[in-house]
Amino acid sequence: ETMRIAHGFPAQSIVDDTFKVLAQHVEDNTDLDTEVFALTVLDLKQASPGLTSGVADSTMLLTAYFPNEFSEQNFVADLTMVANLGARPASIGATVGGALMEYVTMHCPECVRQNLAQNQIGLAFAPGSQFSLLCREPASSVEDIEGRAVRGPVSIFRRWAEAMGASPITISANEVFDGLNQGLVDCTINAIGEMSNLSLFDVVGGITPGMPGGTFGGSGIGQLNLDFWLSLDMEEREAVARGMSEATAFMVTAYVKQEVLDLETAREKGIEIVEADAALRDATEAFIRDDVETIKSIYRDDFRLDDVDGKVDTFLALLEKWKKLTNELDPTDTEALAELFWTEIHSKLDLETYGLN
Amino acid sequence: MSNLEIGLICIGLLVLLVANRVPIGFALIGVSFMGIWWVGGERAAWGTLSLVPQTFAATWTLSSIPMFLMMGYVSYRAGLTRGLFRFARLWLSALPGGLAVASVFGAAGFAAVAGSSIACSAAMGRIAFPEMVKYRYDPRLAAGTLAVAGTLGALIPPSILMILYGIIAQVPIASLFMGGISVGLITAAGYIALIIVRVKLNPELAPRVEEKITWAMRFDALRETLPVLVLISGVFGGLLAGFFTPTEAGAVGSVIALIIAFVSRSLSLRDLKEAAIETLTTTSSLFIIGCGAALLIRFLALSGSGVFITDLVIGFGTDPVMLILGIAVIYLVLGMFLEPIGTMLLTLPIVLPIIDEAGFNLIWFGVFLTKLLEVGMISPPMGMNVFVIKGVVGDKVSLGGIFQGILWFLLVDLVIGAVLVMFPELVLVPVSWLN
Amino acid sequence: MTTQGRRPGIGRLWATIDRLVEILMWGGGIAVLLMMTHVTADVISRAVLGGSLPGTTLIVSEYYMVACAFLPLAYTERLGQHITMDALSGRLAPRALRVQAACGHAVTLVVFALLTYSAWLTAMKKYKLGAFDMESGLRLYVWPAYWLLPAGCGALCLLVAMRLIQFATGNLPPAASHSEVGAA
Ligand code: NA
Ligand code: NA
Repeated sequence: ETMRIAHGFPAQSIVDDTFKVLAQHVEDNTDLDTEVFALTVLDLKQASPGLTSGVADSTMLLTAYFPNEFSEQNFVADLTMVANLGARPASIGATVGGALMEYVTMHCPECVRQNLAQNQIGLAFAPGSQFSLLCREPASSVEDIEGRAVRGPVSIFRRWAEAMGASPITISANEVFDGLNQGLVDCTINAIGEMSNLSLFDVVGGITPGMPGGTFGGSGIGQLNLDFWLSLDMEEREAVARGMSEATAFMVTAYVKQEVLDLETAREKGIEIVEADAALRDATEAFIRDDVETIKSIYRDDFRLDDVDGKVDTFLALLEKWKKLTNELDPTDTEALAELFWTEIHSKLDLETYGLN
Repeated sequence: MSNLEIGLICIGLLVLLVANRVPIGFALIGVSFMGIWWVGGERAAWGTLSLVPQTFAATWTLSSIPMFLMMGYVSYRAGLTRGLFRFARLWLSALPGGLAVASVFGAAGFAAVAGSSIACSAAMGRIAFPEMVKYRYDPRLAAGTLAVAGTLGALIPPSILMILYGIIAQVPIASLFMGGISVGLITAAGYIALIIVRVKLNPELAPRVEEKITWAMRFDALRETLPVLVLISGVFGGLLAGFFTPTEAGAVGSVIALIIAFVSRSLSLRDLKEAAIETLTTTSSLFIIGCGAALLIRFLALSGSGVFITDLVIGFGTDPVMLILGIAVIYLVLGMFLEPIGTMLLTLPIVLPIIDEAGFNLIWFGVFLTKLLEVGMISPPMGMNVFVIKGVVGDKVSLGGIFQGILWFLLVDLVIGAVLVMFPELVLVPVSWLN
Repeated sequence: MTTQGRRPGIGRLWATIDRLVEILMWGGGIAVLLMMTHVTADVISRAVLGGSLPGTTLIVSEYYMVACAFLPLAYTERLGQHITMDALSGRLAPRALRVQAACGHAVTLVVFALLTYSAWLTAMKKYKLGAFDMESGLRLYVWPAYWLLPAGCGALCLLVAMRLIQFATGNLPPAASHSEVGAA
């Protein structure tokens, strides 16, 4: 029996390493064999249908690519910027990851049903590090952004750009270098770790860490094909679940470490690291508060979700809980975070029945 | 049966089908579906078949392929490119083998509006071959020159091969284009030098053109190149000024070409229809191969052949020079039989990590790889450019004759390949000018 | 077009298939022209109005790209312009060439019947789901685009099925020469 893991990221990327952690844990604790395919078997657009049809047993599912199929978890995954209201979390990936996992596995029967409808089961989310402005020229105030062409990876960040008076631009990730280099875009909103992934060091002149903040929530690292899950006995399921805690913690902390490294390289290369001024921070906070209502209305009207107010309240409470839990940890301590995810989430799931109704 | 045996059986079946003129894309799809079923089970086979074609085609960055094709075909149909060859012919008539040299120049110019070497060979072949025959050039030299000059179409930007490489390898396409200009010009210079030397040694290959050419005619021809210069500067100017991305450049270029054509009243509705048909037939024939190659990659991965190829490449040892030579040999051999886009989609997921690990610059490698794949377009027994030229020349030259005419050019290409390995700066320095 | 005067019913069927192949080609043509205009309009809107037109990349990739990749499949086959390798053809007698072509058509029919079937199932699924995508607050239905692939593949099936019947009844028109790449 082989567990076939296929993801749409390059070999030797953080995601690839993450799945190797999962594979290693499963091999060490069960009789299952594992195989990890980087990019060759499924790409990002094929992740969900590929899992549904059993091309792979496990994949990395960016749920935002499938707005209809996973509207319930996308709804709360769109709220990551809210984590920054009040005191900022020490590691936004750990905070949002914990809150999302607890929400989807324990507080959202609709999420489970949507997974079931796709013949899938969802066990884990591993968001990256905080989104920041990577710009041709350093940008620290609303005036610096006004009128500029800003690329945002998902619609929330495009709305933020618009609210700051910038013009939002849509180009795909592999056009970001060309876009910045030629001046088609002035700023891109990305995790700082993308500086090395997209080799942006030569075209970025200024970085504004944590502005606008938030992260990419819908990083479903723990999606499994349901038939595969059902074929496992209880010991094997437990090994997979524990492996998910380990893999999620690995990925979240790896992105934090990547951010530290890339910031260092940026400094060495003479890229200015600037702080957002008070006015820009205030404007962003005001945007976040307003945008919660926008997000609610989108998911209520376009995706026909019930009880959006109740769901937001539940998720915001979870964010506060996880902010407290993760703030006590060193953001780069993988083992401590894995233990936290295990005790708070995966060990609490009834693996015999979870995900089946 | 082991997965390796299944893999070999499927590859054998693939060769059998392709050798019997089943279109390459169709054969790839059928054999891969069967193979995936065999090694990955029924569900994986149906799942992959239902996923790959739709998601492969529905890709924003690939939209540059039909758009650059459209730009090239509109330019050709509207006669925007005809002036290029006339210009080169009149200004270069004094050189030994002047018409052949002019063909290379013309192809280099046309390459700046065409995305692929097939388009470039077909267009230049139609314009220049009749002229060379008229002046009693050796038909093998004439046809061979046109087949090799066509490869400039993929080296000098825009280049569909480089766009695909950029997408797969996640490197900036504009940088690849910059490196491509350099290698394209080196290649053109090498071809021209070879023509001049060969004609000097054996003047019978290309008799002197006895035509009275006045300076008035020359300057008149210069004016005729104006439309295509406007187009080229519009596209590259807009790119460099940051008005649009390389993905969008083809669409904007097509519109500019159409505007020039309508303003100069050189494009009829019928021509536009022809250009659209050529764009669509080429696009769909390329995309169905792309789908087939994407399926084959999945089959190879699931069967573990990826590991086999990786081992083969790693077997070249840790010395970077041996590694790159080994990889070059693999691509030259594959290029004898396979078509470049399929080859690239098939091998890059395996080769790229190794190249990266060995410390090679991925932009340099993209340009080097394009050069290698273009050698495959003219190497026997299957050279797409050669088939295109054969279609243009009819029975004036045999297929074997065209390959004979190409042999010397192949030597030049091998030398250029070696030079690129020894002096990567030839690619990297122009790329650095972009920043 | 070779139709048989003796059997007008069959002849009309062949003519209908031919017409269908052409209609799909027109669909592809419209897509290619729309793509060109839409992308250029987006570029101009960015330069003049300071913002992208909403949904451009989504419409281009989900609709135009799929249309111009798959709708012309059958027309391309009719012109003999799908890329083949002509290794053996030079040495075969005309009769052997016809048999070879018929075998090729049979393989094509099987492959594209599989593709049409699986694409049709996917399209049904997307239709029932009412699949849509969101970009910049714009809600764009994508399920209709999923019918383009089965349409293009289905037309190709009909075309080669027609060729096979013509071959079996000894009425196969001289196959479009595969070595002629035209203006490619
Ligand atoms: Na070109
Ligand atoms: Na070849």
